[in-house]
Amino acid sequence: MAHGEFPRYVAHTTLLVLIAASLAGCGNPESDSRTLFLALETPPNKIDPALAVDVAGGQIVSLIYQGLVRFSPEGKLEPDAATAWEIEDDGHRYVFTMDRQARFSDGSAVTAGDVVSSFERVLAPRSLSSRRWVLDRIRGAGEFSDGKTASVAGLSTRGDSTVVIELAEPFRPFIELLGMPAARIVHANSGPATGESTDSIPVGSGMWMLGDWRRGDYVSLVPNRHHPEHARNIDEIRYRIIPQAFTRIAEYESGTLDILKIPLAELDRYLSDPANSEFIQSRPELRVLYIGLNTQRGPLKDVRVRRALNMAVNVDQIIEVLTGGRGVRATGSVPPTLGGYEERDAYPYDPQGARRELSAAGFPEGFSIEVWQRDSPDGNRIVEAVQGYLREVGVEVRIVKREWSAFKEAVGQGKVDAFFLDWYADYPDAENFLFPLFHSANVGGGGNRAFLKNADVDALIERSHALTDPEEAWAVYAETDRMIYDLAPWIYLYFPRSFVLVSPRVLGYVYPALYLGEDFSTIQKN
Amino acid sequence: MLKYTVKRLLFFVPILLGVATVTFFLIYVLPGDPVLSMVGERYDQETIDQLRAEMHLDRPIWVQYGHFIAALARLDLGTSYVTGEPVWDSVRERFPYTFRLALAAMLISVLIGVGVGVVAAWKWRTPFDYLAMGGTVVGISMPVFWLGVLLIYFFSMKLHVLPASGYGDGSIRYMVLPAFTLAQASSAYVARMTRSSMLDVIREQYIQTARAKGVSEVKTIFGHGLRNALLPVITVVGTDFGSFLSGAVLTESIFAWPGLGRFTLDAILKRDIPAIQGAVLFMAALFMTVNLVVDLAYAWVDPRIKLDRDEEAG
Repeated sequence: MAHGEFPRYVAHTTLLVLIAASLAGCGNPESDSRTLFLALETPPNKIDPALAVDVAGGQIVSLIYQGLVRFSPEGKLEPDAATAWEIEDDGHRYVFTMDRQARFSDGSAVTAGDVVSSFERVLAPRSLSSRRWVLDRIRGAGEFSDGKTASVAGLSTRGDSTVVIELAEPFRPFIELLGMPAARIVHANSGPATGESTDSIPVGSGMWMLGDWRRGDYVSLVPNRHHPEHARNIDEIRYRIIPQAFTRIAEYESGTLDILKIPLAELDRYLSDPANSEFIQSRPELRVLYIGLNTQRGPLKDVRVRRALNMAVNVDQIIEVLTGGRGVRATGSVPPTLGGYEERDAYPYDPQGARRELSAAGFPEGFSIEVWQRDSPDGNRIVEAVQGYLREVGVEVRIVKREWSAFKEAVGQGKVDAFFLDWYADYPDAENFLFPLFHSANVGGGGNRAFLKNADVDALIERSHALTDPEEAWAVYAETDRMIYDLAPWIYLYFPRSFVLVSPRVLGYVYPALYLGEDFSTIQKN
Repeated sequence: MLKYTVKRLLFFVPILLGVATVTFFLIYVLPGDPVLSMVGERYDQETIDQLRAEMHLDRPIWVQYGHFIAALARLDLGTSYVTGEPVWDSVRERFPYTFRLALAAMLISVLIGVGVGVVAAWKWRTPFDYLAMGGTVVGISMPVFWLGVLLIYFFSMKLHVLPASGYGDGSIRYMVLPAFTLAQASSAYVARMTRSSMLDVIREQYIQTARAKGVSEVKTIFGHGLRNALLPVITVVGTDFGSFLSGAVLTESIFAWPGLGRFTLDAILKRDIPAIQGAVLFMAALFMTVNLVVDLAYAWVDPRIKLDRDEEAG
């Protein structure tokens, strides 16, 4: 090409590109009436029951894979791949009768053997599953994981239709653990859970199966036609990965997203708009917000100091101003919708009393602490409010913002004075709050980031595990929660309520109490 | 030129080695544990130790570095800690999205930038010139995030004419808003550069000669002036294209674009060491390639430029 041809070449190319662009631009908008468009804030890391540890992954796993039991949108335990179960021998043995209609997405029957192999896949010595704790109460699980036995002693079958699970010790919430992603059933011929990617994910028997997965863009699920209750009005659920809240709002308002989790900052706008307010669903979350206090560090070792910090913060005002009064003040860690919750007197907002307590503890001039948090608009407002209140009683707070990985490492290793965090329930039982968050066996990474070590608390929690009568267990939970509240390992904040906006085109959606409780089988879209 | 190209390609090796080394040690200086990103909540030390051993993170840093460089020598970027997929597969999967976006942004940048720049120079010290240069100041100053949000607000939420985000079915309409957002600052800069360069060129004698010969003004400006003014513009466009390919993190995040920028950001947030290293190395190689192409383009646009010293001497 001669040099002199350059401008003409550019002009021609430009023209061609513009023509191509205008032709290619004639695509159809995303408004398929048989596709349900949903958004995920972060992409799922892995879609494998043994390896999914994030909320997005767990949500999708719960749709693709059946458990022996599952959670309804209301958070109630209900049969899934098992039609019935018996709890025998004072809670030592669980006998499940398999649903003969249950089918994997390849059409094969779900058998008791699949359940055993699925559980052993999680517990296997080379498994990279960090969710072994879900199943490690089964008798012989530890020995199997350590490679000392070829099978798990407490797992057996009676033919294809009965699974028997024996526990080392009775553990009342065990049945709820079986609804978690790690206890979901994969086809017996699935490869080991060693974390290496394969071309396909394990075959499941849930109402949905993986259609397409474009990493970073979307995960598409299609109905498992072999499931007797598979969706008949929807051909696809498309989970789009949309990291920014504003973009999710724009997608919803453009009609290209069907369900929007409403950010707190936008809530009043939607609630006050009659066109939207009637399509809002809300639920109290199984979640608690708190400022964790490391009970093994500096002035925070002293329970009087920790109580003083609780008295210094006007939590009611924070709830009123920051959430519009749409939260329930936490006077313990057990949410109001769970058995074991009891109403009790909150620490009074009493800055003078707080100062007196601090003086009595030897800190009349106050002290300085660091409060770590992950950067988030809601978190920022809460921590800054707490910072302001604590300054009033002489406690200077330096706010340290870190992203999750660095935050988790420092807080889990006990290198941090205090931290703002929340805790979601994996299953709807108070044990899921009390044991991980406060038992001394779980200090650090196990969930007890306040490093609370109290023998009485431990003993009560352990006692509750073996109680088979729910009422009795709830009474012990309440007593435990009360005892912990008195020890003030946290500045207790509140139990939030969350809101979703469901497109008027979508009928039959029920906002689930648990993220594992999504169903979508009966949804219709106009 | 061939000799020059080969020489430049050979230089890639030590530069990439340097990038790999700096990236490797920088990641280890950062706080945050990659294993903790993999285990979710409620982990025990035994699991952490097992995972650390599986990923060779329990070995001394020099041993890990040795393994990393040895794998690189085999062109193996490793396996993502988070997804379990080979990093090269992920990069290969995500790069085309970024490439399409970068190409569209570059096209917009050139069309708007060169167009506005040439006309501003041609209409020097007229209201158009003042308006255009004022506009470029706004374009350079406006944060990407802000422009992206504004475009989504008007074109998606209010006018409903363009999708707010995502790659969709791959049609151009999904690319319009992110490409404009990405091209914004570059267009403004190219416009200023083109104007300045054109102003120098149109004062040259050969332009006056063309005019004296009765050549039309349009042909004088575009046929004679523009080509000679393009050299500095190519540098800017080339560098910007390299940046688009490697630094579209914000734009990809706002518009939920599944490209390499978001892949890298996710990898950094999850401390996915092999994915970070792989993405950074790939971007470095890409940037160097783009720079090489720009340098070669100089010689093509301006025959006076000799890239091989031997040729110059000859």
